[in-house]
Amino acid sequence: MGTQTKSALTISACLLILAVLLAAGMATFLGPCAAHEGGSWMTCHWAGQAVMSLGVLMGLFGVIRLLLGEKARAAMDWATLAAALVTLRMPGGVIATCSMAAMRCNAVTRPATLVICVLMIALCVSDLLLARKKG
Amino acid sequence: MRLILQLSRKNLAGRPGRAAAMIALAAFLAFAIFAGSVVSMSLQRGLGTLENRLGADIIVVPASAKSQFNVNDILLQGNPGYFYMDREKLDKIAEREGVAAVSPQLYLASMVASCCSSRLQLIGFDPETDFTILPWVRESYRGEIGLYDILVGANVTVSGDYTLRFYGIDCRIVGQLEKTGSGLDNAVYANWETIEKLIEASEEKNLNKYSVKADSVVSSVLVRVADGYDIEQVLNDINLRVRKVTAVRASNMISGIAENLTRLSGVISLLIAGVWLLGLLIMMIAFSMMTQERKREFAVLRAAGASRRQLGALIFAEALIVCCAGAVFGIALAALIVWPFSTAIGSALGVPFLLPSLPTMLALMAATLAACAVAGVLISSISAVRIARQDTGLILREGN
Repeated sequence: MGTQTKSALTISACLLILAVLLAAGMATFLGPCAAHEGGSWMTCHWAGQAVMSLGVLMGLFGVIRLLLGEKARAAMDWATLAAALVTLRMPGGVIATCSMAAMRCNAVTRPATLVICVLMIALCVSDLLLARKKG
Repeated sequence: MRLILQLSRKNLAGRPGRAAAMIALAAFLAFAIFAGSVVSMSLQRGLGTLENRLGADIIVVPASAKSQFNVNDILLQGNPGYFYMDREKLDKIAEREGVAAVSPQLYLASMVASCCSSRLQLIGFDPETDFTILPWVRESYRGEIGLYDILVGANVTVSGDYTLRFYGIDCRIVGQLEKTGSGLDNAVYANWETIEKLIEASEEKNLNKYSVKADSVVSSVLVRVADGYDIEQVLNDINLRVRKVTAVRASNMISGIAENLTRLSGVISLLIAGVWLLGLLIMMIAFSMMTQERKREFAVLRAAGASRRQLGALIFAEALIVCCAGAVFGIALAALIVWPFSTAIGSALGVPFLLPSLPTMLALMAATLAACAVAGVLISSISAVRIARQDTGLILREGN
C-alpha cells in the first residue's frame, strides 16, 4: 500500500466504501424499477446500469489511490470528483427515469445516487483542500 | 475572547481523534433530533393535508365494496382497485334531505401507463359537479378538461410533451394537483367521456376483465351536507333509505391513520428523548474525563496568569465548537437523507407523509443548532466549575 497520512488514508477508505456501496447497491437494494410485465425495461434500468458502471470506475480509482498513495492522491481526487459529478447527472438527467415520483427509480435509486455522490464530492473536495493546505 | 477561541481551536486540533469522536457524538444527537422532528412533522402535515383534500362530508360506496375491497386503500392510499354501483344511486342520494351537493367518481381498472412499469389508479370525475378535485389543481397547463384531457397527482412527473399514453390513447395533461403525501398523488383524473373511451380501448385490447359502461355506473358518490344539517343524521338517512350502498363519514376514514400516526409520533418522540439522554450523558462523562486528564494543563495556564473565569470560558468555547460543528454535520446528513428519501420514507411508513415547508425546515435547523449549543454549554458547565475549584499549586506539586 502506498504511503499516505492517516487522514488521507481514511478518506481513501471512505471513497472506496462509497463507490462499492453505489455499484453493489445498484445491482441489489438500490436498483431501479423492475421490468414491465411484458419483460421490457424502462429507461430507468439503463440509468441504473450507468450508475453501477460509474460506481465500479470510482471503486477502481479508490483502489489505485490506496495502492499508489500520495503519488496518485490529487489525480484520483480529481478523477473521482468528475466521475461523481457525471454520476449525479445520470438518473433523471442524462437518462430519464419514470414519470411517477413514487416509483422505485425516483424514490430510491435517484436519492441514493444523490446522497452517495454528494458525500464523495465532499470527501474529494476536503481532501484536495487538505493537500493544498499541507503544501 | 478571540484568544480563548484561538486557544480552544488549537486545543481541539492538537487532539484530532478526541475532537472527532466528540463531534461525531454531537452530530449523532443533532441527526436524531432533526431527522426525528422532520419525520414527525411530515406525518402531521400529511394527515392535515389529506383531511382537507377529501373535501366531501360523506363518501358513498357500494355495500359490497366494504366487504370485498379495502375502500381506504383505494380512496386514501391510491392503490388500484375497482367497484361499481348503478348510476341511479347518484340521483337517489341527491334527493335525500340535507344533501347540498353530490359528485360521482369512477375508479377504472388499474392499468399500466406509458410512463411507468407500475399500475396507476385512473379516476373518472364530473368536472361540472366536482367540488373535491378541481380546488386542488396546483398548476393549470391548459383551460378546461375536455376529451382525452387528464389531471395528474403531484407524484406524476409532467414531461415536455404533456402526454401520458393509456391503452394506446395519448391523453393530454392539463393540470397537476397539490401534493397530499398520500396515494392520491399517484392517481390520474379524467372526465366521464375520456373514461368511457379508455374503457372501450381497454376492452378492445382485452385488458379489462370488468366490463362496465361509464354512463350507467359510478364507483363512489361524494356528498356535501347542507349548512345546518347534522352530517351523522344525513349519513344514517342515506344508509337507511338508499339500498345496497354504504355511506362513510370522510373524517372517520382517516381516523385509523390518525391513530397510527399518533402512536408513531409518540414512538419517535420517545426515541429522540432516549437518544438525547444517553448522548448527553456520554458527552458529559467524556468531557468530564477529558478535563480531568487535562487538569495539569489548566493548572499551568492558571500559573501563567489565566483567571478562573478565563479557564471556564476556554472549556465552554471548546464544548461549543464541538457541539456546533457536530450539529452542522448532523443536520446536513439528516437533510441529505430525509429530503431526497421522503417519498420512500412515506411509502415505507404507509401513512400520508408531506415534508414541512422550507421556512419551517430552516427554523427547525436553527432550533437544532441552538439545542446543541445549549447542550454544549450544559455539559461543559460541570467541568468548568470543577476546574475552577481545583487548587493549582497542589496539582503542579503532585506532578500528574
